[in-house]
Amino acid sequence: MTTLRFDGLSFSYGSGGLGRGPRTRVFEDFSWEVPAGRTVLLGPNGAGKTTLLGLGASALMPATGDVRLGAISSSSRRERAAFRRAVGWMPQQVRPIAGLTCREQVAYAGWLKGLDRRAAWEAAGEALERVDLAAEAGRRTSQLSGGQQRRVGLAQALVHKADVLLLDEPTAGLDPNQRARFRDVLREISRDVPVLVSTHQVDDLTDLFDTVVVMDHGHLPFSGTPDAFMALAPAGSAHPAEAAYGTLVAGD
Amino acid sequence: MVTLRTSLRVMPAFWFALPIILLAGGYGTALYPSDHYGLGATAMGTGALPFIAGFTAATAAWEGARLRRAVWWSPAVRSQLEVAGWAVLPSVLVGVLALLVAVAVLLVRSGATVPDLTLIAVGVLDLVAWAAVGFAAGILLPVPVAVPVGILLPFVWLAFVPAMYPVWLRHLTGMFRDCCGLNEALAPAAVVASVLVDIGVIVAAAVLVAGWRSMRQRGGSGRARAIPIVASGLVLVLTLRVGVGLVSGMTYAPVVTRDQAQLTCRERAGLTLCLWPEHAPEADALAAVASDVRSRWLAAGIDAPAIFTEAARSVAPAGSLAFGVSGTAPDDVIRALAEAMTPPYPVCIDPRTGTQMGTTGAGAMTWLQAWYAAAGGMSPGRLFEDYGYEQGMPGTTLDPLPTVDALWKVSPEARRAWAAHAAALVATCEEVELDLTVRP
Repeated sequence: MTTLRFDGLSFSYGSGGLGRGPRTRVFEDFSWEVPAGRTVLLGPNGAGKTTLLGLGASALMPATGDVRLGAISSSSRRERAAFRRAVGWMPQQVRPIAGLTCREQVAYAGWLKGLDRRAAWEAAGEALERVDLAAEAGRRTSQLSGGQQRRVGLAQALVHKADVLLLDEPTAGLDPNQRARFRDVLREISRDVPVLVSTHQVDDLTDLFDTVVVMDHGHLPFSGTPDAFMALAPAGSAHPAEAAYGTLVAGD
Repeated sequence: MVTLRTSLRVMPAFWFALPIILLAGGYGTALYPSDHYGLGATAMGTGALPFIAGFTAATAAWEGARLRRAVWWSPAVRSQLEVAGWAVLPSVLVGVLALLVAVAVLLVRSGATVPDLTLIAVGVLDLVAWAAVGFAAGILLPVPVAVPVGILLPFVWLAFVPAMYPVWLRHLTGMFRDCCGLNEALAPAAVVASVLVDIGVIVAAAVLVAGWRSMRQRGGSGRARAIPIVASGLVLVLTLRVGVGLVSGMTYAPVVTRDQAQLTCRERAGLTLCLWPEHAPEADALAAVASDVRSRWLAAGIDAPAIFTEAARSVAPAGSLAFGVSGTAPDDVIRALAEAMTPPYPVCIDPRTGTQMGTTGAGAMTWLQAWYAAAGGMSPGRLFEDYGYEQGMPGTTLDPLPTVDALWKVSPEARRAWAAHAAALVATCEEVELDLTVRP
């Protein structure tokens, strides 16, 4: 199975406005290899989770270092198309494309990822089936609920049959029923490819993920199995996952 | 979009295709192109560009805005150029179709069959440039700003700039509606300048959008994001500067004299008549009227040249009569020949302001033309229609026709003397009394 690897990454954001303020450094010489299976990335706001997934998808480009999928480099102009074809990314905000139905939006995402129009249309139908949204294929994305729109986002990440999936806060803003449904979908899609999920939700970690990674200020203070993560919680904790998390990261 | 059906359903370029095409066709019916001259008709058709380009840019802005929120910043496998190209293709295609309709209507009305392909290519490039501008606006600005910018910017550039001084500014716009009479060809410098500006606009838009995206991907600050703005501005300034260098000093019309080798000359009753190929089908009719006019002029004591040519006055052979005619109705031809017999208005500069000024002697022009038209055999009805009750000529009678009647009653020598006096009045920059009394 192909692995996604971050090699010596540096990345910072400029300040807004006229850019007179200092840059905000997110990563400095950051290296990490995404484990096989389902990996959850936990961390406080501003820890760098979204930036890491953006770099992994090559939506963002590092100042130094490289992101590689197997032998394919995202920094190489020549290899970037192949890299992007191999990575599925669901951004934090899934935005409806004005006027398009679910299937059209997913098919358009497939076309952007290099599928021809006919193949994209077929693949969009399959992707919507996988996220249990086939019944809504003909509805405009903008008319769907928040949970359904996030599943459209997931279908967009799946449509081109990527070798690795990066999902940024896929359950943010969903109610408990929608989250449960989303987890079922996630189990189904992660059978074949490694999945890295960034989230604030720490429930069901042991049930759903193979690896737990905690990120804080561009560093990874913890990476291990869910059981090892839970073991960090003080004995007798009412909410062991939150307690374990609290031992690694100061409050948000 | 992914399917044609989707595109037809959601893209404003298709929604507004029919109105813009009808508008372009209507525009074509409102103008009067030169007889059979494909170049002139095509050039006139480019006059529809201000509103067609507005449509193209505004709909492209809409598509840019559609992609901006949802997909533009995503890591696509396809290039930005390909994504943008497909997004604006309907806007460009409908715009080109509208331009072709305007040109086709003018071609039909002019009786020409072949459009000028260079001008159409320039028009297409112009629309591509405006699509690029609109798309860039859609990517970088909120849609309530981007779409109005898309409508207004082309209109300002294509409708207001041609109305500004210096007059040659208009040749940078790609709109050539002041080209061309039959004896004129499109000035290559104007074509090159407008193509250069179009390419500059396309490159500037691409630099802006691609540079902005690249800065954003690298977490660029506000200051770093100014780099693509400055770079695209430099591209624009540079191409405009070169374009200005090419057209500065030209008159309002983007024309040069047409190649004289295209004239075909024939002889009839002592008259050599040289016509452009577009008038070949009417050569017999024109020759008949022209030789009749010349005979009448000679009989009236007017020194009529032996060569009538459609060449521009500036390049016509010495002693020939350079005329331009639209239509073959005898009265139209007579009027064209009468106008050709009068001297051109002088270019007079007001010493106080340094600008061009009108002259009092110019009022003699109508009198002179009326005489040549009457002497050439113009029908009384048309003579009255064209020259009767001339208005607003201070210091003289308001009607040239009594003067024409008086000229018939005097000797040929007196007529020649009167015509020479009137021609001198027309040609002078001095302030003169417009005395056109006929003296025996």
